Amino acid sequence: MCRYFILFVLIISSAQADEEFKKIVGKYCLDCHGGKKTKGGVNFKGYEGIEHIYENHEVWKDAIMQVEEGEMPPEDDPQMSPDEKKYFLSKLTKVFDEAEKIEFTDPGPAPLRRLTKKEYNNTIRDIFGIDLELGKEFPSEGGGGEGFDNNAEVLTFSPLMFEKYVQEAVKLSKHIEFTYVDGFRAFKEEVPLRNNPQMLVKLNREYNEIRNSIYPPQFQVEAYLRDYMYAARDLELKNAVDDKSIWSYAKAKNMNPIFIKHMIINLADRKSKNEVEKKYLAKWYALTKDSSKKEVEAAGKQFLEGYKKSRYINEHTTPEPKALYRKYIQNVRNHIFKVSNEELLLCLSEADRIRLPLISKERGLTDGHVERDYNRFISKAFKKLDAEKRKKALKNPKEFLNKKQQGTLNWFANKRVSDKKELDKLLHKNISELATKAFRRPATKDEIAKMVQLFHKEKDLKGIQAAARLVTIRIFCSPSFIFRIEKQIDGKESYKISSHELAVRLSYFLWSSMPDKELLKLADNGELKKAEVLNQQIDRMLKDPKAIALAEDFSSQWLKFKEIKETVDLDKKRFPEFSHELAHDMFKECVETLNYIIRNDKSILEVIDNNYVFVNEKISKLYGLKGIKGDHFRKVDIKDKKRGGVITSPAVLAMTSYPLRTSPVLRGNWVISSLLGTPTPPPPSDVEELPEDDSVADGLTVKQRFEKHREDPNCYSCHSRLDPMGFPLEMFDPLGRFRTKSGGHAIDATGELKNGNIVNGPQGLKKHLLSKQDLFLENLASKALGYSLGRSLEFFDRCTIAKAVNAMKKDNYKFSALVKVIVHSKVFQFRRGHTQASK
Amino acid sequence: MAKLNLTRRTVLQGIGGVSLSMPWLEATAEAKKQTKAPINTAFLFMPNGVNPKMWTPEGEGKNYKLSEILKPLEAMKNEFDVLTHLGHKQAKHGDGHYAKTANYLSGELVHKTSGKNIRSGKSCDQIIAQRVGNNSPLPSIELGIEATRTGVDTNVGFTQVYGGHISWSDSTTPVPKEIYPQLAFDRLFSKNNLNTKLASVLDAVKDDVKRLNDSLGTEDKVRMDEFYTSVRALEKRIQRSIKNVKAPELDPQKHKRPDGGLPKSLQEHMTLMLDLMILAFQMNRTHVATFMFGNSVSGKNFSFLDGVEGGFHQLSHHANNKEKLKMYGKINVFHMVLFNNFLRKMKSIKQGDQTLLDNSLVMIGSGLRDGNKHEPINLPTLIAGGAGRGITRGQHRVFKKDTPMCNLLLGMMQESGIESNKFGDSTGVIV
Repeated sequence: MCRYFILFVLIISSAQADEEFKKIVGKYCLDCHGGKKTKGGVNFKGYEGIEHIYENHEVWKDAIMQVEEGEMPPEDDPQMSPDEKKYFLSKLTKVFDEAEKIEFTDPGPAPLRRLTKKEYNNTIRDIFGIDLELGKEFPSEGGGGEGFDNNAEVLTFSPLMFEKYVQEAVKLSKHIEFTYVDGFRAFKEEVPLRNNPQMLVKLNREYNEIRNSIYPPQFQVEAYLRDYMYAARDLELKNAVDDKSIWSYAKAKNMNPIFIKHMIINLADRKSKNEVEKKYLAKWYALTKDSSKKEVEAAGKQFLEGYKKSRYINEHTTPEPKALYRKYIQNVRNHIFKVSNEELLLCLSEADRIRLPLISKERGLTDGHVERDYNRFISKAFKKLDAEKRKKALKNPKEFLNKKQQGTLNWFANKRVSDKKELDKLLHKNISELATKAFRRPATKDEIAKMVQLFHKEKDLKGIQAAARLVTIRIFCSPSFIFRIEKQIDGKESYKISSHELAVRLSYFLWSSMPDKELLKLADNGELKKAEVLNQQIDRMLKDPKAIALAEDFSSQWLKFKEIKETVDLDKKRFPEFSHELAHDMFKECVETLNYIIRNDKSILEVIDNNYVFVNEKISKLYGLKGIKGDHFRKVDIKDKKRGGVITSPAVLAMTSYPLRTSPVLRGNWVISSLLGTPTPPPPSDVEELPEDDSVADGLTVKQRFEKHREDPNCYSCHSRLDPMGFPLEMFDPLGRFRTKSGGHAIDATGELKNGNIVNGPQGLKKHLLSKQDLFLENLASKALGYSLGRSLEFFDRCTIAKAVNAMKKDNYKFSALVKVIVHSKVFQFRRGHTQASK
Repeated sequence: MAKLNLTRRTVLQGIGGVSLSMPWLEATAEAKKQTKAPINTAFLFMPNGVNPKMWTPEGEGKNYKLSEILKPLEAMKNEFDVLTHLGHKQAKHGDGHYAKTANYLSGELVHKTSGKNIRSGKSCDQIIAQRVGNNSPLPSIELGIEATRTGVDTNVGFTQVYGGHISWSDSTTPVPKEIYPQLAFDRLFSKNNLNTKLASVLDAVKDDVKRLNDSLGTEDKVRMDEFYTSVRALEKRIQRSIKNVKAPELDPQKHKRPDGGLPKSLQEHMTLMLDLMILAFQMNRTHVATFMFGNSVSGKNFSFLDGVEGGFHQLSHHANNKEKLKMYGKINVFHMVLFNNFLRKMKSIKQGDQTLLDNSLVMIGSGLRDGNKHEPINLPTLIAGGAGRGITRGQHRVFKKDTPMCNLLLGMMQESGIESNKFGDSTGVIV
């Protein structure tokens, strides 16, 4: 604190006393940037010294560059003498340089962070291990600070927002199934409440049918069978024969999905049909999309007759369909074991994601059933073992079972829990576990007790599942879940956050989600405090698939390619290839590239240039690559030096185009703002723009028109920076395809820099940008720091940024080097004391 | 004069849209019984200004001649006034669009920031909603068609939050808008959301807040207050729905729930949202509503209109190019076609011997006049509706130059029952 204070005073006094500096500002800047006029939104009025620089560091930082490059003061206005210029720059630069060296003790504000819609879904995904794609319909975050949606300063709250949280929690609760033994688990499909007597009777019957007979007796009832037959046809016509579609269809029609699936398989399996079957099925197979209802019914009738007869034939002459069905039923049986002491759950494999709902024990399932299941389970598991292993296994079955089987076995071991006290204990444990995960801290005794109370109250009214739903809603509407709350300690001094809080900050930074078990364990036992361990964790986490969040969330906003999905609206008449799906593929390409660079810890400069692209079939066409098939993305090495890097990706090239033409200005603007972090002020009003369409011929090329435009000194100062960064990309059309001509003119892909150097084509641009790598790295570091902290950057953040840039340069430009500097920084690991914060 | 020709396709689509939504608009038996309906206030915002050469009508008073952009409103000419020379003084500070969007309904200064300390003014729709919103299940609804963009416009240094919100429940809290027709519909009409068992959840959540508040810093408490207020808002809604505030049930046969997701065509989307607003008024779900035809700087591609090629924002920077001005105007005309349908539908709904429009006040306009200049003076503004007391319309009212827009906003507030003599920089009252 002391050291900071002294340095601070030092700077203040030196700058405050500096009348000379003030005079220069007054003489050359204030006419346009102070008082009445505030051109470009820049206002130096009120400059009294360091405080102003401190508060408006972005503007002052920009001023250094503008004056250095001779852009300010504008050409037609009085110019600073060389001495004045030198003085102005050296004074200002000194303030910034010193800021980079100071170890500021103020960690800055750490505003309360609401989970973003992305973080919301990821967190729930990681709590339950299943992605239910929740929160999609939350209003989008406006974003702020360094330009990210996780900027806490603008993550405001409103009644609509809360209603959405409630709605999503209600939605989530419907996917939850609770058993005392397994606790709260989420499934892809909604879990019906069990207190529907009709449903239960029906399910019980079907359950028994599946168990007892390969051909369920119900199938002998014609009407019943016909329903399933038509269902199969319906779904096939819609080409919706995946499990999910079958499930939702069955749900809507109150049918059994397993039987529908069976019917589809059976009907589709034409090869193994014998002659007799084929005869009976002839009419059915002859049906087309347009067949009349009458024809369908006639075909159905014929099929039914055939079915009854062929059953016999099937069983005795052609084994295949039967085997197929047996296999299917076997599959069902494999998963029949998920039984708890109070209720019985019948479900297919989780991969199948078709589940049958709960059947209560009271409704007629005896321990006998369970016993039988257990025996079947054991014998099945043991069947795969040879004799010797079987012997050993009898002594210690657990060793020989896989994890899933072990879980089942454990369940059986627990199944006789019926003691009320035992059940209560389990309930406490389950609620506590869920709340602890959701709140990212241990749930308090009081909290748990109240939730248990809530559970019992609802259970008495509506049963266990309804109670579990209510508790789920309650947990996921809590501010402890919705906000990332850190403990606020009184006092003037800043303090280190707890290991637990550090784990949370870290995981939301790298994963946009909650910490995993390993991280939590290290936080709990204090190991995470060790720098070594923290670094190991960073390395581990960056390699983890969840680190794709850094590509999907951080990079897509840093490099703005998120916009390709959201606001880009190319004209579909002119570019019929452009579609919502293509835009998503373009986005995906960039995500794949960034994900590759970050997770493999490659040089981050590969964003600018590399010798590979990630493509699927559609994207490969834009690159003019041949022989790429299918929708999945793969890394392809390329020799074309024009390509490689995010700059020449279709996403970036498309989102920097207007609906009908490319825009060198938008492209140039993207390069200097998103890559280099040196945006220009907005254009003045009343400027003449280019025609909409580059096919309009007025004898000038786009470039010539621009050059005309640049002759105007008002335009020159910005366009001399924008245009040379945009022209080299003119070789690509709005879809990012290579072209040599535009509007009938040959493309001139050269841009002239202010110093007279020529940037020629994409290769030239990449080379130029690599020579400006300091700006690129500094921008990246600022963005990453702002993203990790969820706030606007402050003057004193400069030292962390400078450190991060150096670290990257020393360590092969690795992203991990950047992350480590940030995570070890004071601003990341400390909080302001309460009184310090409320100043 | 150039003829503004909407394509046959567009017109047909329009008709399709109308016929699709007409069943919603038939008054229910309950609604008919009401004699004195509450006043509805609606604020419709168009981004990117208008073609200034095609907006302001010739002549003043009753006998004015509709301008090109206003032509589609011919049949409704007696239902609205054109207001000329209203403007927002405070909006002159700050570049581009953002400083002229977030404050459209407050007239306050928009604090230039990329995020820290966002501040605009509390908007008049929210003031009305907070004071008189208790008469309906929802105090207000905020609708739109574009999700708020994410990020910071680095050229001007404003957070995109400003460009996506015209409703602000206080000077630091923007009210997000609903852009999904189905979700808006459910919010208004579904009873599932208001399950009474939620009450116990809300109680528990409120307890959480109280406990947490002890350990939060001052700034965080502000955020937690927003949260608490939001919880309370839902709680009040549930209480009101239990008490059964006069809100007739929808006939599910007539009023179909819209499909999920976003409608493919812009016209369909806007029409659906505006129809929902009408239905909400008609069914007493709310009496205050805002609608954004787009976020500021909206670059929606309007090439689906005959003779238009390009994005809205890009065309609004017409640089006095004739072609561009023409296309810009056609987009404005498109908005007026939708507004005309909106007025017509409101007029067709009977409430006693009056119509829904008679019992409402609807304003439509933009925070900029000319998208090329971004100036917040002489804003394109229309006001319609009789405010429940038979105000007659049909005039072009030309005010003194630089008359505060806040005069109109204050007028609308007063008509809605708010006793106040001053709003923003108001110098008088316009209704």
